[in-house]
Amino acid sequence: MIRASILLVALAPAAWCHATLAFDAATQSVCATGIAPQVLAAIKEQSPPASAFARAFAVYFDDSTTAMLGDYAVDGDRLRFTPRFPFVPERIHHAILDPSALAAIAGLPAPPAADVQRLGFRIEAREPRPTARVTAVYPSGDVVPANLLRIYVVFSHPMSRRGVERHIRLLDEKGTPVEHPFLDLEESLWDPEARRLTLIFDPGRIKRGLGLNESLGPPLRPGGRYRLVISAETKDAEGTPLAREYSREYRVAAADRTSPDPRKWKISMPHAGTRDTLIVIADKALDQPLFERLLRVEDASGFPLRGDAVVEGRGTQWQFVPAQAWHQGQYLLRVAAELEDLAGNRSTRLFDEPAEASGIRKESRETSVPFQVRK
Amino acid sequence: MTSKRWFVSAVLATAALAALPAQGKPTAGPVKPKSLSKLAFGPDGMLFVGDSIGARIYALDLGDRTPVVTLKPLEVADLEGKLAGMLGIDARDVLIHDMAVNPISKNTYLTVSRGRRAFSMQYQLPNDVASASVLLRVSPAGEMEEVRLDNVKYSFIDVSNPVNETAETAWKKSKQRVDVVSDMVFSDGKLYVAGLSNEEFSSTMRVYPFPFDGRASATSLEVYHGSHGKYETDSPVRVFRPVKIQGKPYLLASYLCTPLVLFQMDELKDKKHVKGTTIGELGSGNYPLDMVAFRWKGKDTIMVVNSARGILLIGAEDLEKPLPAITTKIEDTAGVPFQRLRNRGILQVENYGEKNLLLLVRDPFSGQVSLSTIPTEPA
Repeated sequence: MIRASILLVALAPAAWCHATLAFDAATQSVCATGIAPQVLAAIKEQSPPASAFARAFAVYFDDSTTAMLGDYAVDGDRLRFTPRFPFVPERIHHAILDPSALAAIAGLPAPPAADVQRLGFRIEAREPRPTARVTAVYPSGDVVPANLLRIYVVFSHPMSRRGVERHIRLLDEKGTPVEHPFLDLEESLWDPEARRLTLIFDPGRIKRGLGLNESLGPPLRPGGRYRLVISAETKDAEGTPLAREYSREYRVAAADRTSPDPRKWKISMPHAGTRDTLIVIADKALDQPLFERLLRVEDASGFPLRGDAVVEGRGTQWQFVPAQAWHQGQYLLRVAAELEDLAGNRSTRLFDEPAEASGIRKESRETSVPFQVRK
Repeated sequence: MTSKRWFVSAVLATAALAALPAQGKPTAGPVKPKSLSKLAFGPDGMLFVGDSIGARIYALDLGDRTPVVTLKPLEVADLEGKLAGMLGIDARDVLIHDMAVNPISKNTYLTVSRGRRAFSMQYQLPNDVASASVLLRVSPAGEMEEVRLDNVKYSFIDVSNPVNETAETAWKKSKQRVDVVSDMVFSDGKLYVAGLSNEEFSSTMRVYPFPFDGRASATSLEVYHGSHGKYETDSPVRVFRPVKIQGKPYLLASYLCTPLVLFQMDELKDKKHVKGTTIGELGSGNYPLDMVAFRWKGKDTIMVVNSARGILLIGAEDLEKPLPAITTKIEDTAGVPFQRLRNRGILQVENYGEKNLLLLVRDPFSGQVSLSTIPTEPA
């Protein structure tokens, strides 16, 4: 918990109702007490702007000479300063209270012998309590193809963007780490919030006919069992390690060199007038983040539906709850060309499909699948 | 009985209005933007605040319209050090997002946050790493105070079809949402707002007649990007100014990496797609940070402040000459002639009266930020 250690309390003799400053750890604010009730009442009634308090009651950060921004409020028998932004832990702050200037704000005469009060305080640092953990890893199924292209690791908190690779290992059945399974990038592939990490298997070892593929072979061998281990040493954005190590096992099947085919997908038939979940069952497990993002539903006039989509069934099911009820009639499920299965195969081309004789790769195209909403 | 019911419904209607201020209608009360993303001044000291995250434009009437009597050069040394005290942090964490000068009072307004520590890579701009939440005013005498927004006169208009909150700019690890408003200019009774929409061609110029009355137009923009060698529609205008060429009004706009493009103002129609004319390529690996029009050595001049490519001065008379459109890949720079000055750390520039520019500068050696005035014409 946060506590305040009071370094210095004014030694001035009590005057004007014993005006005193104190740091209140529970509310993270500074309180002035012992102020004459009529002064408090006048301040409460007039509610002067924060700038009016500059000379009367101010809080300073470290050795700064410009006062911190914040709000002043009368709270029972005290005047409370709450900073606009939280006090910074482990740093010294100063507060100053001039009872005469405070009385002047209220339009009341200065109290006799009202000494200026000063307070220095420091907020102690929060003990770093590891809280971040791995919340999901995709693929979520237990069996992956030998030419698996990506693994996504989702964390509960924003993570440090640097140096995550050295905390991630892929172990074979004997517990021996697989050497350099993932593409070595200058910067790790994080989403903007630094919560989702993308690990890409080295395409040089996956694509048929390339040197690394022929000399080292693919990083995952069919029939093998591998364990993905994310060490507790992995640091979150604050530099705090994970709450615990994460590991999970994958069994490896043969390489998958077939395209997903949206025309073979099964689509549930929601009922008109309801917000039934639309369930789309794919012909194979797909790249989960792409699956979640790259499908959309359009109504008969081509208008995209708003709603919430999730992927379930170990990457094989797309579930969509529309924001508005379904209407009877035809809808269109649009599947973007960039959708890929676990091995990076798209519906229009394989991940390692050779270029055509012309040197031009086959164009990826969007696929549309119509479906009906019944009464 | 009837009259009583009338009374009740009238009270309810009033309560509903008070609870939910209507778009366009001037009102007074608290303003709670989600991000103070961009500032621009309009007529009669009206301060426009673009809130990208909240997808809303506020027009704040701060009552700041007392003309300054004698304007002296404004110099504020170690600005971040002073702001640090106000924000309760170290100077290295103070982030200044935007600056605007009230043309009447010459008060300077700054939007700031605690976010500078959050920069993690090249090409991120302040709004990519934090949302500004504090508005500050610096008087011509150099006094600084916070402008509280808990009770102000204001009106607002919502930005329609803003780019959604989850869309990402992968290469710089940021949300596209921060560019719903990427720059704003008030000209001839209208507020021009550049930014991103959720449409297929996301770069958009929105036009709002002021006072806000609910009318708005949104035009998607396309430009040829010389250093990329292709047409682009997804990068937002970073800085722009209105200019007149042969008597016709244009917007002169610049983009990341760094095409300079003209758009005819009368082509900016609602729901239309407009191709600009790329008249200059100012060079790659560079952000245009600010643009200002001023008189320099007796001539109308436009200054483009660049992150990496120095300060460029473009003579308005050179814009009058026929300029071939750039439509092929450019290796370095090309197009409209410009004079290049070195940029010794200028981050923002504003007109400060007729004969001065106000600069926000980070000294490359001390690392300190200052406000500094430079004369543009002999006094």
